[in-house]
Amino acid sequence: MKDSPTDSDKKGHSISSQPVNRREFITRAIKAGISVAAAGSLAYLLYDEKGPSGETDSGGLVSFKDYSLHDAGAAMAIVRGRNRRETVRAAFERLGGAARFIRKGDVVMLKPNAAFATPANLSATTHPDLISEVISICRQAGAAEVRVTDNPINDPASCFTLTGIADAIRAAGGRLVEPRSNYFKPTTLKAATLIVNWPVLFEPFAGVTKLIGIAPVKNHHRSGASMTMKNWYGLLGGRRNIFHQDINTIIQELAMMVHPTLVILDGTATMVTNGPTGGALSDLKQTDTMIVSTDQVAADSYGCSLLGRTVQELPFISMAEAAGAGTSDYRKLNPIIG
Amino acid sequence: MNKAAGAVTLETLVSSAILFLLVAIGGAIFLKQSCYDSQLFTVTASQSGTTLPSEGEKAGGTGVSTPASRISGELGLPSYAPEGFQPAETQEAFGPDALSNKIDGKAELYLECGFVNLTTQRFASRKNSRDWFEVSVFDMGNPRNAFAMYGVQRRADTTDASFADFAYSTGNALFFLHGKYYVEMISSREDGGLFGDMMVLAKRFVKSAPGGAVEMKEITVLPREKLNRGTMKFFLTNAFSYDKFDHVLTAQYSTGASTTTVFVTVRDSAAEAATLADGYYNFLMGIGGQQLHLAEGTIPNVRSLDFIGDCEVIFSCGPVVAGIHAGRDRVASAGMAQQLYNHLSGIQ
Repeated sequence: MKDSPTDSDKKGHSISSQPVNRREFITRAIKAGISVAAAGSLAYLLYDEKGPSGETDSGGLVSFKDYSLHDAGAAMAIVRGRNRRETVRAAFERLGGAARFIRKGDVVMLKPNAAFATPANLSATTHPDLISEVISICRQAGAAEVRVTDNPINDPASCFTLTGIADAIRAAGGRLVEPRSNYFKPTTLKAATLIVNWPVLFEPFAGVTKLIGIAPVKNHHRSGASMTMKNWYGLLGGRRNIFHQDINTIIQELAMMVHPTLVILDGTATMVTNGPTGGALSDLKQTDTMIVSTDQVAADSYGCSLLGRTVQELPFISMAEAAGAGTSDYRKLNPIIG
Repeated sequence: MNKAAGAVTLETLVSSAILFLLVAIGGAIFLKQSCYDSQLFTVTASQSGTTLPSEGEKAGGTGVSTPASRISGELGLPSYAPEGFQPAETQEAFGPDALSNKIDGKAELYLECGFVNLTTQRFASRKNSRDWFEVSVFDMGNPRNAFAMYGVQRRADTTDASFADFAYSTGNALFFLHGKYYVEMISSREDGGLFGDMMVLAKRFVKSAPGGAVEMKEITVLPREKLNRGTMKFFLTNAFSYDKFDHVLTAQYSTGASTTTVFVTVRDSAAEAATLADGYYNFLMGIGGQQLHLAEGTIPNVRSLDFIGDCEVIFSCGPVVAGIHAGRDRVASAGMAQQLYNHLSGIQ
């Protein structure tokens, strides 16, 4: 039986002029019903009654790989001298040469302290001579690429330029990676209270096989000292200054988050007062010491002495040690002193 | 039939366009999400265990420090440029919420002293861009706060400068007070090569910027004789760890081969001063002080005590609480206390 054409068909509004029989109508109606039910069910399943929280799904979290070299063993060298290029090269030699840590084809990331747009001579940032020399050392050891990155406190372009770090990187054949918003990815540190779903400067680490932290020894108004562990603060994004309210915990967690191949602590000119920015040459004390270590806690423990402080006066050191980031007794590393 | 086929074709095209548009929107959302704004992340109360960030702190921005805070500040620092120098970037300004974006962990120091605003400007030599200096003008709200900040940041081994009431230089930098402003000027050279240029700008600032000489009643009550002006420090709160000791001025005096630190604080009345002096004495005795008998001469109601090997002398004279803090030489401390009392009683 054929149905009669509707009025609308007659007016030419239908998309088909062919009549629809009852069976076909029922079939189409069922299919349409199934489609609507499927779409509705899917929407119901995907419905989030709480709405977006602003936090990232834990599935998108990243974490830094472990860059430490377990087969190279714990090592530490302390070299005296005023010329940073000479002392850091001597420190590597005393540790058996850079080849002990850097292999042919490695992609090395250097993480300096480039926090402030201040002249290099104020020692508020890692000295460009030191960065330049470490790039050369890595390249001579066979590194395929040496990158340098940091998320400074001040405007990144100004910091890298005015500190002389950008020129030093270019001259030594390294690659400066300035931070961009899309380079940050959220991370959560296991058993952490502060680094939870927090953005870190992660993208520049793609393909990196070795990581070296390079920091000056500085007085710090909040933590007492800023050395190699505090230096990882430059990997944090977001409104990180809120962490100053619990400065010792954030330093401890940073030490747990990052497992470097080496750290280099520059105590050539130690900022003993008015840190972390300093500003006057009278804030500095000539301490003529360069420390290269596989253990960041041990390096910072030695750095205490350059500031005239004890390990007990800087709680983040014992906290990092308790968390398993290293040892506060640097003597256990049998440091080679020269 | 042709008309019907045409309608179907049209429907197909429209449907395809809509589907394409939906896919494009989906792709755009995906790309945008992959470049999320990291500044949206902030700690929760459970994470920090302390105070939640303010709404201002939660506000947008990026995880990367940017020159976004650059504004045309009312101080107009570029107009003070010395000859041969030009502003290297736009003048920047930082309020209390943003101060740590400039000076990181040292921001707390300034905030505790009543910080209102920071204006900075870098000037570079037209001949050599490597020769530059940066001027940082901290608006501390009032001259007392500014003086407190100046004292906190005062460096050792400096040279006093005379263009302002309180000014000094180091090898690479110049620091001074002007009314409510505490000013730092830091150069890229450590050989003093830019010192003259910085001085030109500093003098222009002192001459033109609003403000004036630092006038504080605590300074006016100090004896001038043997005073080392550069050692003055002003504690807005909690001086010597005593929570009731606010607005306390300390200064060092040359006493023979050594120096002795004097303190004064001016209260509203003599009765309040006497009560505060008693309170401070009791506070020190309560945390391990030992009573001491010095030859303080003719000072009425003077208290002396030994505190961790150092000598403390406390008395009041009219509305002023005064004394000696952490004196190493007891004879010199007693003599200085007498000199201080004689001066204070003479000006009452």
